Amino acid sequence: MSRTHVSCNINGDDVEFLCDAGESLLDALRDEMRLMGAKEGCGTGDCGACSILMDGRLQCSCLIFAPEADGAAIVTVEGIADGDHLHPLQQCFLEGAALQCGVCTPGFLVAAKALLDRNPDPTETEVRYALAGNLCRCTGYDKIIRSVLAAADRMKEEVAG
Amino acid sequence: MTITEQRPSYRYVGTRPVRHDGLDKVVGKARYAADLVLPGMLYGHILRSPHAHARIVDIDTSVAEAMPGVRAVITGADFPDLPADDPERNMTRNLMARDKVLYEGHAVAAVAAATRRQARDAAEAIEVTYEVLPHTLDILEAMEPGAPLLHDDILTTGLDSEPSEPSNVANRTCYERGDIEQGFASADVVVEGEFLTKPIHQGYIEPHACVADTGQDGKTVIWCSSQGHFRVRSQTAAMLGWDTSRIKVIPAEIGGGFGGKTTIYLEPLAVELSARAGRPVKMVMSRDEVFRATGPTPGSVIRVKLGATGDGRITAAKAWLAYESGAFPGVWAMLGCMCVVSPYNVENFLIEGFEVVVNKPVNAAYRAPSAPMAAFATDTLVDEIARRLDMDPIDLRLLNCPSAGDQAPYGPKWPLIGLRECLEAIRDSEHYRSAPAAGHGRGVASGFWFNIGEASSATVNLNENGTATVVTGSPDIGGSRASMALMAAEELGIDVHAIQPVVGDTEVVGFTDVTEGSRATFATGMAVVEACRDLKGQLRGRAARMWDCDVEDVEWADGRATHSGGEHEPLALADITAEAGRTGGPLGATASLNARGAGPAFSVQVTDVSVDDETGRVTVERYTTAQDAGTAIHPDYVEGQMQGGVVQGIGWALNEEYIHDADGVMENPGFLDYRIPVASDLPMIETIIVEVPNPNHPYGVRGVGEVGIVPPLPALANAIHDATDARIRELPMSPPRVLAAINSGNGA
Amino acid sequence: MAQVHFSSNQRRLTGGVAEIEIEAATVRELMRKLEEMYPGIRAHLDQTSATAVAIDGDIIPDPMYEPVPPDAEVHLITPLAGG
Ligand code: FES
Ligand code: FES
Repeated sequence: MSRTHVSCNINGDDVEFLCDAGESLLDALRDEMRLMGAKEGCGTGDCGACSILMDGRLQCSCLIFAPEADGAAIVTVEGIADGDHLHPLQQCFLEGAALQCGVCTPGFLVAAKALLDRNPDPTETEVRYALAGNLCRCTGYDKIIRSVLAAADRMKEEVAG
Repeated sequence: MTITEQRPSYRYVGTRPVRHDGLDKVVGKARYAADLVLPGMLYGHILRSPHAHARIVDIDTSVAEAMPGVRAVITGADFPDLPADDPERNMTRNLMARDKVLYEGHAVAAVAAATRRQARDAAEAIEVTYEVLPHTLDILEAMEPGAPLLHDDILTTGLDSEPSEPSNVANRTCYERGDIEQGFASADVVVEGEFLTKPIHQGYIEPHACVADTGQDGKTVIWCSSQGHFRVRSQTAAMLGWDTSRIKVIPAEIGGGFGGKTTIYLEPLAVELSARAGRPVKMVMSRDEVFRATGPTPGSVIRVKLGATGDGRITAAKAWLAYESGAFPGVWAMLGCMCVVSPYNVENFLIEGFEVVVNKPVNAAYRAPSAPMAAFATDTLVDEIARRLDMDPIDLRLLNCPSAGDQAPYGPKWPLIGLRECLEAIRDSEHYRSAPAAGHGRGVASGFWFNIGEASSATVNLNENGTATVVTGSPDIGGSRASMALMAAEELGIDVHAIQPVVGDTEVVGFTDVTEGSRATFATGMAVVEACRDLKGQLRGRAARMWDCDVEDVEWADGRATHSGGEHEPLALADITAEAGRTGGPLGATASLNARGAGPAFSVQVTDVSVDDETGRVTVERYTTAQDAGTAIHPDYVEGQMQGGVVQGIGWALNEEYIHDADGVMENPGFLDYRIPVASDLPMIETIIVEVPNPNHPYGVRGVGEVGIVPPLPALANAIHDATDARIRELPMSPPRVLAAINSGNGA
Repeated sequence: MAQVHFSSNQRRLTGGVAEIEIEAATVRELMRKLEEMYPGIRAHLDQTSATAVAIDGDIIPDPMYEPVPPDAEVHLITPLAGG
């Protein structure tokens, strides 16, 4: 089978890879690019573990065909931190114990970043609805929601400060 | 909030440091089993039965073997057939069917090929000829004489007379005390009901995954996602007929388990495929496979009858419990019997349980296995008694509350337990003291779980710079590394981040049982403490050599050696490790033990719900849980376990169920149709950590992992009743069922 | 003397006896004595998965060599499974 050539930007780097036409972007990220941060929890768009940003929009990478990424700018969990400087969401997840097993964490961080990028001051309810596409079986969501709200506060302070 | 009985004050235990493995997990670096890639690695795929029950007449793999990329094909015949009395026999027959398939999704063959797609295509090209057999899916129907039999060698044990014919009932368990006739005769109120629950899945977000690399020397290395890599080793060895020393198991990070990863599904298949192909083989389940072929906790039919005096004392209990264990028998009914009335002192009871096989996936443990269904029945009826007597439901529970020295229904006397303290914590909580909002209903319930001790090992090495490495054999499924580090920090008196907690593979640390039964922080923590205490003795010895004094003159406190005569400046731990090479060599200690005295766990919960009487949808408006943790080593992760358990219980109560069609095919094997709770379904889960220290643990720890899932089922049923007058005795309490109950005026 | 308690299942093998006193230093010795008194009880315990004992409330999954303290309360029960 002939493979499709894709060039795109991932986490700030221009990259090229070959993929099968029917391959998901999630598989391409993991198998071709060896970016293992996005996880497969379901492969059907129901768990959010594979969440990425594509041209700024939150997407389930398991539902996107890899060739669709041609020309796109993609952000995965590996691209959220600024070098060694963690994103406030990452810092607040750590401090707020927002992860137990951690397998849902990459997806939550990406989805929460998408939320805060467009709404820097969400209410608890807004956070809950924005993250409703991400499943976590360990935490009961409580500490995740609190950590996202804490990160929003911290980012507002940073802007103000 | 934490409510603590008296205990010593600690410097590290009870604090909330950032967990040691946290950074890797927030930057996407943590390695889960599916993330591993080895050079030359192949992909495995399993062919599964489309039938609920069928004889395998023939398997033809010839076409598959000739397909592109295919390197190995295996079937059940490629594994030794274990003798009938081997305890692992059923496990092996679950991993790969022999003779018969017993449920839809039962593995029949497996393929290794160069790509995932090639492996899948080849598996689909394997031709299996089945003779379809009649199946049975319903517990009560499966118990009837004449029901289709899954096995022809199950003779029910525990009956009054030995049966002569096989059946689907593996055993009968019975617990009996006092005189129940008289108990009911002395009751002023008698309540009873039949309660039905469906199988539900643990629902961990990470599907089962492993990589096996079998070498020409006949040894294999397995990377896998499991709650216990030593059990992976022994079960894999049993299925392959290998000596365990040929198998090394390296634990990957585990993406949730909740009991479902205490047994194996893939590893021996991957090892065998890898041996045949001469290449590493990765196997990763799809979500569909996870639902069809792993995990669920049993469905159940439970009938309970309770009697109580007019002042609220429970005088008698009669319980009949049937648990479906899937295609092979388990211990689920026995456990249910041991839990069903345990949060209550009852003088007279008769408890009878039946373990029933049906043509569904083989059950695995799920958080406090068998207790939630039993509590659903009992605690719903206790609520009915409270209503009949117009008593506060907490007061009623306090009146019947067991404490140390009372005899538990399953036999032994209770050790020190914290049920009363949990009841009082809820009674005194701001939530319980404020009335529910208009239109909301309130429910309370309590729950019990045993907790387990078992075998654990730990090695603690002091590094030359004064830091320590703590190696244990307990996979970290929810923050246990941080707990180990906190206990070691407390013992050694060094900063918690000067301690590196590590989960060691089967060759670097001593045997350790599975992380189950809420045991890691309790039992493995005990081994860590023991090793640290050994080290403190060694450190005193080294200080004595450095000072050239008697070891009796050296004391160890706050991470330093001090001289009792005050003749020397105190030595910090790092001062001693820096000199270790000159005072006798490196400092390290190992402890292995069988932990005894895991204190039983109790939780009491209160919830307020609203019910939409047009759709039947239940909204959880407020939820508070109190749980006895003994001592909370890392309160964040204790709260996390409490909240996670509650939310799993909420999903079980309101949404989750296995749905099979008439042919025994699962109809909802995905998260779209098997709906677990999402963030927008829930309020914050308020926690009250109750600390009644366990006298059998150096820091008073009790397991906290499981009991939280027990009370939500009855608590929500009771709250829905309070809101609507409808008494629902069947799970899940999904909108159609709630609506039907409201409309039928099913009041109690 | 340890006090051994029998569940109602087990009482079929003990002729209805619910509780006896036995002098035994270990669980192994206790089991040997039980088998002498009630032939077939060990097979019954195995068959019904009652392979654990609770000694003074502490449930021990694989107990053969376990010491039995004097005056201990002993129950013969199923080993637990957990999540
Ligand atoms: S893996 Fe993409 S949504 Fe679950
Ligand atoms: S932390 Fe385990 S699924 Fe979210």
